[in-house]
Amino acid sequence: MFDEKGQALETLKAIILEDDRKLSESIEREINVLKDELLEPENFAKKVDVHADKKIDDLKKNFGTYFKSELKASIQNELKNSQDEVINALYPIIGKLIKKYIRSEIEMLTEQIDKQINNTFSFDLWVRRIKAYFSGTDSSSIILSELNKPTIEEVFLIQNGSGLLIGNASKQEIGDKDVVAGMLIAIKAFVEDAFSKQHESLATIQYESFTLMVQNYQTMTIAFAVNGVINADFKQSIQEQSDDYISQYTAKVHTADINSELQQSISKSLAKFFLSS
Amino acid sequence: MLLLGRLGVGKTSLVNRFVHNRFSDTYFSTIGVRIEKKQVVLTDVNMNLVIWDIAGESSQRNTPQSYFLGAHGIIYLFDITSAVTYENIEEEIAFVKQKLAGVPFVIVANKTDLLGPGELELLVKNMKVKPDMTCSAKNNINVEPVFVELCKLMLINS
Repeated sequence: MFDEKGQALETLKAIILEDDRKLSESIEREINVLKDELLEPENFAKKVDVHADKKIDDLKKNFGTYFKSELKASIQNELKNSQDEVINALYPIIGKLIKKYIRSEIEMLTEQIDKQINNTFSFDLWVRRIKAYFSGTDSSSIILSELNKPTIEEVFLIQNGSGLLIGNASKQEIGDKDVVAGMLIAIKAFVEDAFSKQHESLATIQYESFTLMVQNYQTMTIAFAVNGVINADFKQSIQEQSDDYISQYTAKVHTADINSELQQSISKSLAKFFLSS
Repeated sequence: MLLLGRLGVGKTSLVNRFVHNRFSDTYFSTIGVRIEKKQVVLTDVNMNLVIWDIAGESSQRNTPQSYFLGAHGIIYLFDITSAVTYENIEEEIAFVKQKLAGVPFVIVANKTDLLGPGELELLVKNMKVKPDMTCSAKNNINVEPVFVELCKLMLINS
């Protein structure tokens, strides 16, 4: 009796709960499919990658638009903080380009003038040159400079403002290099202030047979002690060499961090670059 | 290191005493700037000092401003026996500190050898801005400690 009732109850249950059973089976199937999709990395990646790629492409195309203000602020900040390094990097390159162009134009002009003079006045030109040689005018300085070629005796790399010596190379032992460096910056500062030439820089200190040539940069100054008669070619060569040196060797000179190790390294590079020839 | 102060307070004498251990009673006014160098040995650090002895001016506003650039330490010196050299000291110091914000600064009174016993304390007591240290370049009293003290402050600041 009980068995029959139990069986009937089970049958009734099965009939009544048939829909619920089907629903729960279907939900279970869905969950398994979802589990497979979400928990299996490869399947999940397939689903997500498409949308991620779309988003990335959109970001790439419109990066500037979305992050314009942040980029601008970041670049401005970086430029502001690296102003000195940027100027030090650009200054020699821009200067070199301008000099190269001007030199080329002047060379062409000089050639044309020389040609013209030689063709028209060749004999007179020689007579004039000889007369000028004995009377000591400009032509003689050309001849003298050939006889007494300029040579670099000493090089100083100095921090602007403080006058601290960053490095030095010398063909002979000199006095106190730190004091020399400091005095040079002090003289520059004094002259620039006294004659209200803040936008110009000291270029040369001239003695009878000895010249101090000064190349000015944003945060550093290179000073050369030169023996001999200096001509325009030599000045230009010094300028170009200084620009090259600054761009090659001083990128890592953080002017607040002058220590003996840096001084030694810079001094070696100065000797190699300027005094080895 | 900058050495500032009015005309005749003893800046050059102080530097000469410190660097060369020399003193002269003959007065020659410094023109422009003089630069001296000395190595100072602290406990475990060697410091190379490049000292800019700036020509005395009635006001630091008259000093070429480019001399201030790059300074890592300042000694402001005055003559303890001449009130004129410290009457505007507040303004002068404020001006220099504004030019060189954050740079270590030591105010020093020189020429203590010219004072009698007790006079120094009385003078300092009545000053609006009291010196951090006192010294005598002539008698070599407290000269090296002045520079050493500034070196220590510069080292901490760096």
